[in-house]
Amino acid sequence: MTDKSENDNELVPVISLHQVQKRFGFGDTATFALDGVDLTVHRGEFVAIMGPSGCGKTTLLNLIGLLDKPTDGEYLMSGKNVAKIGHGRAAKIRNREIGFVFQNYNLINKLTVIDNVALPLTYSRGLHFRHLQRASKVLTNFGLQNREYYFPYQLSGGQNQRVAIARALINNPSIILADEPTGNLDSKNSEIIMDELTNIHRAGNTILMVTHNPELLSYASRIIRMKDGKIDKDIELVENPAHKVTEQTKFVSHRKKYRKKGKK
Amino acid sequence: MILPISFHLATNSLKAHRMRTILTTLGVMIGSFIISLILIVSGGLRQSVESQFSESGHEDLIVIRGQQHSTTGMETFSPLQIPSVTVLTETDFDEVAKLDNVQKIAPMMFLYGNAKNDKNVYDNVSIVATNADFPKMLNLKMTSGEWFDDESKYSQVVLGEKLAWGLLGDKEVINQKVVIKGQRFIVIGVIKNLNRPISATGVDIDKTAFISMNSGVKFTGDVKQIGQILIQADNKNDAKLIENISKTVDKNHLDTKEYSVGRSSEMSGFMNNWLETITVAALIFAGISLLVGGIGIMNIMLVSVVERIREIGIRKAVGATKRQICEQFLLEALLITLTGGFLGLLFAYGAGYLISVQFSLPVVFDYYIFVVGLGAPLAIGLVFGFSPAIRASNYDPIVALRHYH
Ligand SMILES: Nc1ncnc2c1ncn2[C@@H]1O[C@H](COP(=O)(O)OP(=O)(O)OP(=O)(O)O)[C@@H](O)[C@H]1O
Ligand SMILES: [Mg+2]
Repeated sequence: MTDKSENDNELVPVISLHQVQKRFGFGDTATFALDGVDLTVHRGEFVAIMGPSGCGKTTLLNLIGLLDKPTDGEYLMSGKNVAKIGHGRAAKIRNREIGFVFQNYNLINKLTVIDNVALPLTYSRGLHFRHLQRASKVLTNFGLQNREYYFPYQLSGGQNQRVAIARALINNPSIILADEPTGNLDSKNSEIIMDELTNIHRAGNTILMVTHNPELLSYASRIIRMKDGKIDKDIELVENPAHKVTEQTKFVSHRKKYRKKGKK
Repeated sequence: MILPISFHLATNSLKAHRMRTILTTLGVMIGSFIISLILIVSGGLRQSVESQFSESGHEDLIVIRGQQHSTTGMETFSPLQIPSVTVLTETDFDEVAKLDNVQKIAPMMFLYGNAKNDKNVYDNVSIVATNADFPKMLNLKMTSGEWFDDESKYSQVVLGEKLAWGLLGDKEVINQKVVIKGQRFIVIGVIKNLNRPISATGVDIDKTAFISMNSGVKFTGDVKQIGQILIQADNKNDAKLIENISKTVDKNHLDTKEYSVGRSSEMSGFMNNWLETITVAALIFAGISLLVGGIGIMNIMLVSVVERIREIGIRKAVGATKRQICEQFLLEALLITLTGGFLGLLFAYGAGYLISVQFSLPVVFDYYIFVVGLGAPLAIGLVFGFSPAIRASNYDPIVALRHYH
């Protein structure tokens, strides 16, 4: 809170969950994957989420990413209540505000790398060739410019995950959700992916990442431990970093709001 | 609507399954091909019939035609049915000829047999015995020679121009000898080409040999076996005359169903009804084949949806709405059916052209052929593509993303 030029908007948390519950099934077979989660995430945070298998990490990311709806509780995204919005609006918000990175990349095998990266753009407005231009630019930032017309099955796991991250970034989302992004990668490729995520974080992006690997925690600004559908521990490693970052990375152009602020 | 992008996505996934796409398209193409071809050929037939009757070149004639008992219950007063039953008699002819208002009257005896000269033999030539009123009623023109005299005792023949050419070539044909059914005839006239294979006479005049009744009865043991009588009334109000004709002929026949009386102009109407019936029947069968194509599409689309559940999940995760997913799959189905429809129409015109040339029919380019040829596949695509598309759009993204193969 040191930068005087910040406006009120910057104070509104990107994610604000209050007593969020998610129940699967009914009656005797009902399980609470999330059982009263309170969580506030501000712009620019890099949150690592840890916890044993089945504690509800993926469920939490799905709720935050509006792929799923909470059974109960409140969810404000940048101040707007999104807990009970319809399919169509949820899809729009996913398209514009959320970027997903999955453990198994989830690229479409029949589409080329560049088409995969441009996929979120095809569901928003604009001309296709412009979309491809933008996708090409992002891929260049990831050093994949000569792989644009490859298919996902022709790339290594690490390359695939970088393509997936490029896709997550293409629409300048306000939240990037990564569910074990390095789960399928060896340590060297994990490091490359984490470096990319760190760069994105430095550019002012908000990242939530689920991981089982304690080594990766050092990249995060905040660590959350989950247990049985609740948040067990919440450790802030760095003071809210969003307000410290300066123009230091090549990803500046992806964050319009940030750029506006940074230049003043 | 994000049509251009959906289009891009749809073509992309169609390209990814090339073989499947081609086969499904082929299914639709065949259906569309058959439908379009039927419409093209029947349209050509209709136009040709209409032009033949509307430009028949003669007055509206009254036709008495012997006919077979109709077992189908269908009226058989049709120009396509060549009157082969010879139930009308000399008495019928003489009595009708005496009726008031009959200006001209011509009997027609239908004989079939071979015709030959020194060089050429023609089997199954249509031979008609008639009188001198016949060419006048039909306004026939002669390229050379003249029509025979009713009272002539000579064996004389008048040939249609195409038959004359076929038998005798382009040399002078008048006074040439032609052997018809074993009898020698002298050619005394050639009728100018009409190019009207379908007409009230029941024969293609261009390919027919005409002889006098006196000559004709030599083949039938001196009995006038009349297949058809043509009558021209002396005024336009011939309804009364038709009634009188019916009464007169009825008296001579126990079975009034063995002949019919009608106007030559009515034949095109009948012909068109008859064509329409056949066309509709054929279209129903073609429609069934298109329906089968549609079921093929639905089948393929359902398979494709199940195969691509994860893809659907990914698309939804990056922001595709239900509607956009639905659009993509529907567009895929429509692309297949429209491509199939277009190719079917194209090939149908190719085949239609060949058929039309063969039977000297006009090639019809009527808008309804395009509307049906493309519209029917379009409708099939919409109907059969809809349910798979809806199914695709309704997948829960989380369930879909967790789907593995
Ligand atoms: N669709 C579902 N239907 C029923 N139960 C579900 C469903 N999805 C998740 N669950 C349950 O919710 C709980 C939390 O699941 P979740 O996938 O969030 O765990 P996780 O923390 O991501 O585990 P992991 O580390 O193994 O990925 C589990 O007990 C799981 O069985
Ligand atoms: Mg998980």
